Amino acid sequence: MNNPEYIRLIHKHIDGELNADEQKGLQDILDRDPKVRRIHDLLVRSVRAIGDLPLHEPPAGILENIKRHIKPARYKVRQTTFLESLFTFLEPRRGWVVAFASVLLIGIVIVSVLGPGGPENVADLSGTIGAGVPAESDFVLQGEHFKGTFQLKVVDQEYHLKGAIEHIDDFDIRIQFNPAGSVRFLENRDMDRPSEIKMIENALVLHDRGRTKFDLIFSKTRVKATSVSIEITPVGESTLEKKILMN
Amino acid sequence: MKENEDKVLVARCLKGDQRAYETLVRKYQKTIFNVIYQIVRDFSDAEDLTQTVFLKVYENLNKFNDRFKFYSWIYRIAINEGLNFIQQKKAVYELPEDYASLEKAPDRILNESEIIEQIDRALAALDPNYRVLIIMRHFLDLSYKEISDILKLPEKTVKSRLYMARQIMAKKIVEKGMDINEQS
Repeated sequence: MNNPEYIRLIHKHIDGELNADEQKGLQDILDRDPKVRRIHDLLVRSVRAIGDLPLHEPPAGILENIKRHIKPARYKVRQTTFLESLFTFLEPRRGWVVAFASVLLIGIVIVSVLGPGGPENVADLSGTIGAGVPAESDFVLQGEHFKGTFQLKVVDQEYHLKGAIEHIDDFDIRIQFNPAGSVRFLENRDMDRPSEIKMIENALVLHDRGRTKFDLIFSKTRVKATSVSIEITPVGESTLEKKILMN
Repeated sequence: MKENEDKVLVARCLKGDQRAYETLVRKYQKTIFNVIYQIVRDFSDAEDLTQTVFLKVYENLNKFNDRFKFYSWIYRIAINEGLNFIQQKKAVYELPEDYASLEKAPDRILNESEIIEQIDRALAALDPNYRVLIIMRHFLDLSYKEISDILKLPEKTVKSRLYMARQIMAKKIVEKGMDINEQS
């Protein structure tokens, strides 16, 4: 049986695929036909509720069982050389490498032309791994419909930023350690689902929606972190900000 | 970045770094367990199948083509495992029906937790082939293109089946005499 046109429009609306004419056409039908309005609301709300279904914790021990059954010898352990490791690390970051090399080259040219030279003008990066410790570890950022509970802590040579978010819509979280280059992002653990993560101008930007959790791991570099700024932009709400100083 | 991170972990696994594989398991186990649970609707079966998926992933890691997204590959393995399991059990599900019964008047309006429960039940009562589409689109937030690639179906087919799946699910809620619409 073929669906009537309004059913097709309702599904396109759910998928965010309506053009302006279709949007108007659907709105006209919804305004004049309570039966269609009812079907529309039922479909929209039921689809939205699927995203709110609770996620079950997998039983403890799955990882251990998997480790017991895999045959590590399948993929032969081989000592990699420093150059191979460096290549593995840089290969997926080709764009960044080219950009970095270009900036470095321009920097060298500028310094060689303008700079007075001499060792007193070279930044000293020879100290120990950056030892900044957050002055505050637990905090909550709350908006009208957004609530985020966070914990920032130091584990060995890493910063761990855990977050539990409750929100009904999309949100962006922008995390910037200062100064730039004081951390490297490693991975996101303990996720409800994989979030979209990307680097924008030295800041890590995480995009997700609804209720979710994350555990972002950053490794320290030789540059000591002095602070971390966290900006949250929930759709339809003002930006929430937090800055934590490092002792 | 997430994709690159996965590809680096896969490359490390293939060089014999077992810890890299543990990181991949930790990263995806919750999502995979929940996807499989939504398909098979049994915790114990979901646990066994989750382990099977990760063992298969490990065994076939050297066949993974890194031109594609790792998560699409692992989701495909998980969804196929879940569907094969269901087919072997030869469960009988209701046939799809049309939209008309959506118009039936409800008995009462539900609160938020009842809505979630009702949706969960309606999802459980769907034919697994429809259920998997709902899960991929609205639980995993995959695009039609990604679903089409994973299920090896034309996008048009994915779309028409998903439309049907949504309608059947909504109909099952109406059949219970419940209303999840907001009070006005």
